[in-house]
Amino acid sequence: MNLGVVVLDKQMLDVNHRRCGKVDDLLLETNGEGCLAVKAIISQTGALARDMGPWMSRIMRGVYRLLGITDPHPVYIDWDLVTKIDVVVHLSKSREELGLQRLQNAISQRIIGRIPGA
Amino acid sequence: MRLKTVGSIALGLLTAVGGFVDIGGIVTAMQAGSQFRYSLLWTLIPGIAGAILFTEMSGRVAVASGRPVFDFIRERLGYKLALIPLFSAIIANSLTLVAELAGMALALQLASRVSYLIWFPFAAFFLWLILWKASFSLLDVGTALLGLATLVFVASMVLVQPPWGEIAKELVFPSIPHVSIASYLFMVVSLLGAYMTPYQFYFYSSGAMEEEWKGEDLILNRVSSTIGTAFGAVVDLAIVLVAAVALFPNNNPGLGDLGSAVTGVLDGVGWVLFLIGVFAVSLGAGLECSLSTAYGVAQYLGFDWGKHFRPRDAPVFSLVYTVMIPLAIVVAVTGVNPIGLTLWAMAIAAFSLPFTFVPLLVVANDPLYMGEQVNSWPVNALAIFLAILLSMVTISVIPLLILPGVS
Repeated sequence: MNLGVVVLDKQMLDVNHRRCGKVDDLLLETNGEGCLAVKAIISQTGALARDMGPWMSRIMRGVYRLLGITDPHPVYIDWDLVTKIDVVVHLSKSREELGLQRLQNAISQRIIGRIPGA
Repeated sequence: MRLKTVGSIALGLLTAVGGFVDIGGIVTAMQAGSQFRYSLLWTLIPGIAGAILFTEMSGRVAVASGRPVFDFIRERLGYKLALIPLFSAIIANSLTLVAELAGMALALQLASRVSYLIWFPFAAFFLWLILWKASFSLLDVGTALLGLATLVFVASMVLVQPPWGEIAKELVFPSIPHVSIASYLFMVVSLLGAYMTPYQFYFYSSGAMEEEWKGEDLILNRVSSTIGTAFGAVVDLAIVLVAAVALFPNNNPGLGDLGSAVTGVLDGVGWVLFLIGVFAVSLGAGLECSLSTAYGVAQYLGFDWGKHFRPRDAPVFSLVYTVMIPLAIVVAVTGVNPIGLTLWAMAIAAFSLPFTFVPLLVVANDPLYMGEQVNSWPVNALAIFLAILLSMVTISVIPLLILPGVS
C-alpha cells in the first residue's frame, strides 16, 4: 500500500461521520521483522507547522496561545482506531474523545461565539 | 419547478456571474467594446467552452465522490504544494472582494451621488450579514434572481441594433485593430482570465454539496452549468456590443458611461435596472469569492464547512469570511483603484490555475472516486487543450501588467 497516496492528506471522519481534520503525518515504527509499520496518524495543532520549520512553528504557537491553547501539540491517533479507508479515513471514536476539536472550540469560544447571532 | 431545481440552476447562474459579469467582468467587457469594437468577441467561444466544461466537471466530481474541489487538491498535491492554490485563492479572492464591494458601492454612488467610499463599509456590512445569517438557498436564489436585472444589457443590445452580419464575421474571423499589439493581447488575456477563475470551481463544487446533490442530480448539474454559463456569456456579449455601438471609440469609459448608454435606449427604467444589475452581480460575486475562500481554507484543514452549520459550529469557515470583510475595508480606504485590483487578482489566480485543473482532471479520471462517472476521452482531450491554452494565455498577463501603458 502506497501510504503517501492512500492515507496522507486525506479527510478524516469520526465515528459519527463528522469531519475531524486531515491526516497531516504518519508515525512509523519498525516491527520485529524489521519492516516499517504505521503506528499512528498525526493530525492538527501544529502537525504541519512542525514540518515547515522552526519559524512557522513559532508563529503557530503564538497563534494558539492567543486562542488560549497554552500547550499546543499534535494529536496522535492510534492506527488501530482506523476502521476503514476509502475516499476518506474513518475512525472508531468521536472527534471530542480524540482531542481533535481543540482549535475549532477555541476559535468558536474566543471569537465566533462572541458575535451576536452566532 | 421543484425548489431544488430552482436552487441548482441559481447555483449555475451565480457561478457564471462570478466569471462573466462581476464588476471586473462588466468593466472589462465595456472596455473591450469601447476600445476594440467587435474584434474581441471571439474570446467568448473558448470562454464558454471552458467554463461549461470545468464547471460541469467540478460539479460531477462533487456528486460522484462526495468531495469538493479543494478537498482533493490537497490530497493530490500534498499539503505543501496545495498551499500555492490556497494562498493564491486567499489573496486573489480578497482583492476581488474589494472590487466587488466597490461595485456595490459604485452602484449606490450612481444612484445617490454620495461617494462610493462612504457607501463601501455599509456594502461590506450588508454582504457580511448575508453570509452570517442567510441560508445557502436564500443567498443563492436571491442574488441570482436580482442578477437577472442584468438582462437590461440584453434588451439594450437589441435596441441599439448592432450590425449582426459584421458581428458574425468577427466571431469567426476576428480582425486585429490598429492599436498596439500589447494592448490587444492584454485585453484578450483579461477577458479569458475573467471567464474562468479557480474560485468559481471551488464555489460551484461546494455549492453542489450545500444543495445536497446526489447521483440523480447529474443531469441537473449539466443543465445548471450550461444555463448559467450561457446566461453569463449572453450578458457579457450584450455589454461588449452596447459599448461597441454607443461608446466606441473611447479608451477610458466609466461605469456611468455604460449606464448612460443603457438609459439612452431604455430611459429611466433602464437606469434603475442597470443600477440593480450592477449592485446584484457585485453582491453575488462578493458572496461567491468570500465563501470560496472560506470553503478552501476549511477543506484544506479538513474542518466543518457550509452554510447549513451555525457560524459557531463551523468556526474556521465563519472566521475566514468574517476576517475578509474588515481587511477589504482597510484596502479600500487606502484609495487604491478597486477595479484595477481585479487585474492583479486575475494574474494571481492565473498562476494557480494549473494547481486547480490538474488535480481536478486526475480525480475526474479516477474510478475509485468517480465510479462510472469518469471523464470520457473527448472531455479529457478538450479539457487538457483548454487548460494548457488558458494557463499559457493567462500567465502571460504577468509581464503585460508590468509593461508601461498597457494596463
